[in-house]
Amino acid sequence: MAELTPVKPLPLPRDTTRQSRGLLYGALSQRVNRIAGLFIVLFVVVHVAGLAVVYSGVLKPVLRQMPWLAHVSEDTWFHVIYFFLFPAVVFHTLYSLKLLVMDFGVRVSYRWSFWTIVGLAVAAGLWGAFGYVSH
Amino acid sequence: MTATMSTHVRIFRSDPSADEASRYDEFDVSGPDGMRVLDVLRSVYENQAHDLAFQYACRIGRCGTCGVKVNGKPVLACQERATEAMTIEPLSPFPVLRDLVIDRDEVEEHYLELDLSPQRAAEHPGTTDPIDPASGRQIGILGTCISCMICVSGCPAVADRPFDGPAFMIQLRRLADLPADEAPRLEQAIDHGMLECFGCDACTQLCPADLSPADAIRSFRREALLGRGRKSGGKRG
Amino acid sequence: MRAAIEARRLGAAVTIIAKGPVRATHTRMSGGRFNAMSGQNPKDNHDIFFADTINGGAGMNNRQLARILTQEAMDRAYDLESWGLVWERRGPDKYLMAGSGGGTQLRMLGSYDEGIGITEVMIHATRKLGAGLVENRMLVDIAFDDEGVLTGALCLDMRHGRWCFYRCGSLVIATGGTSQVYETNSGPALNTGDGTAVAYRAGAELVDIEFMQFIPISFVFPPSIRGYTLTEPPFYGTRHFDINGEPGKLLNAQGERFIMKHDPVRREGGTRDVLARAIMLEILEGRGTAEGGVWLEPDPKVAHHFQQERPMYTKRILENYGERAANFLEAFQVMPSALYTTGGIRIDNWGRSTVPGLYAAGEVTGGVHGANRQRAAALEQPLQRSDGTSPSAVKRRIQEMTTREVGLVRNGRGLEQVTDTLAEFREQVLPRLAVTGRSRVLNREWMETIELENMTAVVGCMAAAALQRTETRGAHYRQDFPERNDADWSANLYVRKDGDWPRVEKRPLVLETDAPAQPVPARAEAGA
Repeated sequence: MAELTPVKPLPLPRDTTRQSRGLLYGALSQRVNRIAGLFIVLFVVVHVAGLAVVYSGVLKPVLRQMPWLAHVSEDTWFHVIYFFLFPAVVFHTLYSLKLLVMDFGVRVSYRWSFWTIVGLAVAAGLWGAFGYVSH
Repeated sequence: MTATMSTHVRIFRSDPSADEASRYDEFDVSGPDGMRVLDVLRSVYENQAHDLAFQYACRIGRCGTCGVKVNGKPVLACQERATEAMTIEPLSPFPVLRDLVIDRDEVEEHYLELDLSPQRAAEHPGTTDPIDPASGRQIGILGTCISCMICVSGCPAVADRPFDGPAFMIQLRRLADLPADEAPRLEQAIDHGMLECFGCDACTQLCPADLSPADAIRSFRREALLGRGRKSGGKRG
Repeated sequence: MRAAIEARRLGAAVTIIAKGPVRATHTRMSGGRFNAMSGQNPKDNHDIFFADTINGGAGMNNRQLARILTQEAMDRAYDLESWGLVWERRGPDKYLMAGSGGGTQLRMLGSYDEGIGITEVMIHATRKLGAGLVENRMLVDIAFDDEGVLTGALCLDMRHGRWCFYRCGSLVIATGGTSQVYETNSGPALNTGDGTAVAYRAGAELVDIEFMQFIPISFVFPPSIRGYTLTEPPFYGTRHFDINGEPGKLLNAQGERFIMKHDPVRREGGTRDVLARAIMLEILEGRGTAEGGVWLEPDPKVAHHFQQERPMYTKRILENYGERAANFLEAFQVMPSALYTTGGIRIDNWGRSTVPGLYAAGEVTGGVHGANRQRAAALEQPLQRSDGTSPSAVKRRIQEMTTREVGLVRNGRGLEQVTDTLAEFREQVLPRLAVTGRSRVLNREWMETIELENMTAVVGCMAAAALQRTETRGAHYRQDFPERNDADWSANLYVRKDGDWPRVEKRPLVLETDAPAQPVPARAEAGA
């Protein structure tokens, strides 16, 4: 009997019979990325406004209306933002970098990359919280 | 396999033509272990709600007509294993004709606009069209897209951006890779919202045919940035 | 769709009417393998191809249609290529050709996307040419003028729950086969023999309707995939690559290799009819598994080859039978399944039926391998009945009966019983069908009541022809006449509606030397 020509083994196809279970990584990461982005924008707006009203003569009327803006960076409620800002920046930046890198042909697993980025973002948050608390 | 399982399902019911409010009906179904959502729907239809409207045909994941949302995720009813508690809804964001059947008119319009027959420079010569075997296989792989619209349903960009959907990008990619086709497929992709994709890979995760529309889009993006001659996307490695 | 494309090219106004979604066809589900004379195998030629076709058809083929098939198949393959289908190849212009069951030479083309690719490229080609396409519209009946020429088609628009009539000069019925009359089948849920029944009621002749091809192995569970073809045992062993190799082995519940009782020479590499019958007999005689199948033991040596060649099948085996089965490391359950209706509407060399203006193409025809009043009123009655029988239950009864008596194992008494039961159905059961859903939109029960009329008609024709054919040939196995009888039965059976019942007529085979059938005049071209 003729010898079978050997064939390179391929990985088995996916079993796609349990798709409704577990996380839909793409939808989740898109939502988190958007929330993180909005959060960053909010922070930047408030922070810049806080600085601007102090240093800009033109905005003096605004400062009279909202005197709390001048020392917003010292207020405790604003510090809460720090706990979320670091994770937001880390997540948003890393995720956007991941998209960029994939556009150029690097293959990244959506599963693995999601958890890694989330892990790094959480770590950044803990680091920021620790830093804040220990002052 | 003689083991059985039970499931409690909530099924979306609506009849736009009758101008009634939509509702969820609940049913209990038992069947063999490993039964699919389609088996559950057929059991409900045959034994409990004879007026249930649902779509299916091939039962084997090839015709792409049985797409529904199970617990919020778009899946093929004939492939998805039933779980003990399920909410079954029609595929969003398509208009609903009745119960679980959606209106695919807009989908067919998009396909028509894209003109997915190869635009040849000359008539087929009546002899073998030469294609490199590996490229040919890649084109064939892209051709396994069953038009089920599950990727379109699961795509976060389709809902709120001017983007036709991942499935259409796969078709454009298939034709872009076909040597005989001369149409400006990259331009078409951009016109139909390709740039709205932010690479979240929800489509890749959901695709019942194991395709990656996101990879097909990435090929287009590379082409847009760096010019033609790049390898195409398609099946995940 | 191919007819639509050609008609459009010639300037006709064309509408394609699909019973369900346009992609819900048997072609979609198929492996898309295409036997054709590409001219790339120097050992093959048209005559060998022709001989293989006749052999595969157990000698029943209409020789003229078979000749046309062998001559024109490659042109159709090029058509598909021109529309964007890529046939797999070994080199840029060297097709990859395989051997099919019953083929003595390698000539079978295939594309990676199989039937999915074929249907997609054809849909796009058809729409590009401007053919209209409507979905969820079921052909229910056809209308004639006083001279008996077709004037149009009556359809139920299921999307809106209303009737529509298509006035047309020519109607091509391409509604597929009748696989749904069997419990375990490999076809799409829509293939309830509608076109066959409509043509039959309109007075068209059917031919070879007693022949149904069964695929010997198919999935056993879960219910949704039960009956889906798993091709043939040779694929699961070295036999696929080497004619002297071993196919995958079939074992009954006791672990016996039962094919040795039936076909010790070809074993599991034999033809589909012998294999399917052997498996069915094991199951009927109680040596099958609890789920109603037998075991297929694949050869692990060819696992990777199979995975590369048929990835979509590998995926289904993985998802339904597990990883070990997908790697061919353990046996899995299989059973025979009704696959392809080889008989159907009789056509001439130009696809014309015996009814003027009515054509047919594809699985609905037979041979390669009707003055009517509109019946809309009767078809509305199930909607108006408040209590009655559920059509789904009746459908199951027909399927059970057909599988038992008109399936792989037939005998005279059983076939006569079918005729009696169908008479009872027609008089007692069908008039009592009731549809409980009140919405006219996408009313599946309503569709099923119409399907039941068609299934009853088709099964009646199958049983009548099967009863007449007192021999065993191909998948038609008569326990009371178990031998092939070429002397008396080198003939085709033609079925035509005669009052309420099918009239069966035996006629000699159509040979190449016969004069081509007289074309039946269609409606005048002007005003079509």
